[in-house]
Amino acid sequence: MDRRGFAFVQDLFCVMVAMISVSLLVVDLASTFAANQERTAQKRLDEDARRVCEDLLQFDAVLWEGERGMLEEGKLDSLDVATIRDGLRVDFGFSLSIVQVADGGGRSWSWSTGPPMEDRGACVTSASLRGGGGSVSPARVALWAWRE
Amino acid sequence: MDSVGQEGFYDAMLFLMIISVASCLVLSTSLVLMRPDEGAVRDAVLEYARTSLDSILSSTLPEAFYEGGDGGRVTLGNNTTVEDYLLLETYLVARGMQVSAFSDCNRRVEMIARGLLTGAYEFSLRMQVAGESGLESVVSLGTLDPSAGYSAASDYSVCGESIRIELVLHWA
Repeated sequence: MDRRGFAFVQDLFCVMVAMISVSLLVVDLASTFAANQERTAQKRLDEDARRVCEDLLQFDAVLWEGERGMLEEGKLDSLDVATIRDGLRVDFGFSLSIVQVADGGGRSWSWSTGPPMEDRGACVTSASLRGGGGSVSPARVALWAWRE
Repeated sequence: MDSVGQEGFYDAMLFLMIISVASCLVLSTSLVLMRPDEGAVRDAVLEYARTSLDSILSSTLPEAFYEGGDGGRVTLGNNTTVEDYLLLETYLVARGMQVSAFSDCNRRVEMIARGLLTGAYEFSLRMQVAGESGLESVVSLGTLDPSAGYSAASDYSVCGESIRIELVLHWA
């Protein structure tokens, strides 16, 4: 190989190294950006889910009676997705479940706007459920929210 | 290799080094950003412990009772709350009564707590009274070592006795 040929190979090598390096940097930047976007979206969904949970536990018209966290059992049966959606002004998809834990067995209720999307925010909290005869039992409230 | 060719080669190596350092910086930043926000997770579990403790304590125990000193059954009101029951138990145990006298209802309280907290958490529900050397545990329900985890507590004063009911949670 003459001197010009050697210089050409060397230049080619330099260009390749530069291209690989820049590609690495671009990939890094892209993955960081994507991770950030995903994280922000997830955080917003989590906040939405928590807001709806908090609103739900203070939902005067349908669920709420007495002190905070008391869901009235008789009214859960008459709830539907549209009622929850209207009452809480929810503009995203959600799946809500309330599981009553009681001595000798409980009951559970669930509502969903449809099949859940992949990216979901979650809120799991505890509430109290007022039953007949003045009894009160704890309930597990879980809400999943997603952008439709 | 002439001097011009060598310079180009050194430039390329320098460029590679700089780009590698920049890549490492970007990668480490993204790794830090992708880590879950520990403060937010901690706040969420503490909030969950608080709402769970409130729910457990406001629950009612149908036909609650304990074994009296003469072996007879002492029945409490039908809608006795877990809170009232645990305060009574703690007060009596602190005054020398055996915990075994309350074992039946303690098991029911434990089952309620276990059902509420799902399988994701281990828990300890402990009742403490203020003694000369600080708070002393009198009754403890659940399986978790109560020294570790996220906790929520409520303080009471019963007939001059300072009582604390504490729920400690930890991921199972």
